[in-house]
Amino acid sequence: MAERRDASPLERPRQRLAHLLFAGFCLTALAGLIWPAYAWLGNRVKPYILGLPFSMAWIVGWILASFVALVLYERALRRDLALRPGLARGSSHPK
Amino acid sequence: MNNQTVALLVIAVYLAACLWAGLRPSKDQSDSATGFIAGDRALGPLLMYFITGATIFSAFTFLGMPGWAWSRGASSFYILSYGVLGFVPFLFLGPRAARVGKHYGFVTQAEMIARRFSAPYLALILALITLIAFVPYIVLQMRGAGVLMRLASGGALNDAQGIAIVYGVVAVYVLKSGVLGVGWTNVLQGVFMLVLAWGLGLYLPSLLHGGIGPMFEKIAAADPDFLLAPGRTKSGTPWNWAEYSSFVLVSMIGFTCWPHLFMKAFSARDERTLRKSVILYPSFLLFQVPILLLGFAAVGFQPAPRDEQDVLPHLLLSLDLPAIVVGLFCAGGLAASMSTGDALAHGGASIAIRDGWVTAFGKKLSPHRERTLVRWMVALLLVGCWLATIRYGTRIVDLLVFAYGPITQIGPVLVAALLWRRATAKGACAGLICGIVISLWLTIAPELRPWPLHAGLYGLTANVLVLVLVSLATQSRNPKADEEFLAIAARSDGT
Repeated sequence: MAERRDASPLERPRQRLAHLLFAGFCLTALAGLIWPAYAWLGNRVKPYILGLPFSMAWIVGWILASFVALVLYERALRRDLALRPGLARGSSHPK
Repeated sequence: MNNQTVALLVIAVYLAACLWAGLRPSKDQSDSATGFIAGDRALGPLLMYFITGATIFSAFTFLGMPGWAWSRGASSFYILSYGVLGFVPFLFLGPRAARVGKHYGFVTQAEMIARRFSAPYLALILALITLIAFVPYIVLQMRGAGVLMRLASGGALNDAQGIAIVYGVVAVYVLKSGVLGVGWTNVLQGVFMLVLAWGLGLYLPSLLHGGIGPMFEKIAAADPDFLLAPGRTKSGTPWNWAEYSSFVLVSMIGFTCWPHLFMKAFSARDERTLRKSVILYPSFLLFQVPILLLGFAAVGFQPAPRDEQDVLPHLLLSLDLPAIVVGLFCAGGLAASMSTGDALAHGGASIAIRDGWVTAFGKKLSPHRERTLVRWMVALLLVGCWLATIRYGTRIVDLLVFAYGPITQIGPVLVAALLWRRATAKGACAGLICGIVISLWLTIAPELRPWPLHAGLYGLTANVLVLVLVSLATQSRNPKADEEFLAIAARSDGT
């Protein structure tokens, strides 16, 4: 079991990058949902997007963005998992 | 057939479908507490998606949220916001919990924390916090069900009768099928909620205002600030950014801590299934958008509703809509109420027996006997909450705020238990108690807050500080066991 925790030296930086990018996204999203970024950038009525005021469409945008970010993050981590010898079983991302 | 008969028939069909979905899987799990509480750790992605999604959205979503939008405008966006990152901590905590759960046989959150710190008394404290929070939360679901049944029957059924019918059905499927009953009914209820919310949320604005765009243009023309965050307070004065932002933050942190939700980490088949339910969760979150549209559709509607909680029922009755639409709406609302109420009753009873009795006092029970006790507890909890609802049911939103406070304070303990080796039982306990006392105290006396931030944020800050300081000043009861626990938590299953 223990060898599953060890990423090869090649994979480690990539995994770290995925973690970092995802953490960056979470912090940006948080700022975008509350003061200050929401107050400065998102909080206006116009333009309307699909009929929604911009202040509401902004939050819907973050919901969609969080979905995309989660999918990309999971894919990045899983690709690393699939690359490791002996762990390709059941992986949906064979390389 | 008159209108009430049609609406009640729709509800009867819906309740019958719930019974069918809930009773069908009763044979699919083992005759044990692990089977009844955690479905033998074998739940697949479909069930996990709907259990987490439908459990989170409750009667408050269907009745309370449109009321916020109607009376407080953009301040209701905070409810939409906190879900965006609210489930993300579960991506990291959930799989860790699942690993130790499988290894040690945990089925509840408190049991896991008590074991990590070798401190059974923590299970008792957490079980008490959980039950104190769950009772008002279940009452809230029951009140919603009562309102909807009264609406559907045109007043022929009073609250006590309406709730008894709806939660009678819940009692039958939870008692018979345990977590699989909760899960399979949640699939049905989740689909129903999503379809109804989107259907009505798009239909009513176009019926009343000729579309979503014209509706918001009308609102903005009459009151431009109404659609700008942070919106209004309950009394109609402008809300401030500090409080709005801290509400989002505290709700985000509290999200993962709900014990009935967190314990589903022990039900999932594998880690990939768990992560999937987090990744797909935003699709469920989007369904709050049409719910908010329903509230905004009622802005400016004459005659105005008397109370913000009556907005949707009032609108549906005044518009003279076809009885089948009223019936479907009520059934959708009942789905929201039941999908949360069933998980709360099931989770609350499991926690009361497993944590409050077995773990806290080191009682040994046979798996079969434990399941029997949990069943009795489910029945007791439902009947107790039914009586409480009839006698003391207060306003819906006030109750939710009261229930959320202490639960949020479990957050730092959870993180420390699964990730921080140096954390000790004394630290966890002291932090938890400090956090709860401060957050409740500042909720009761908000004028004591130095800045206008959510009371829970002061509680969380104190909680983390005390947890860290006391942990560093004390020694672990069993460092070797801690190491082993954390090593298991860190070991991926490769899925």
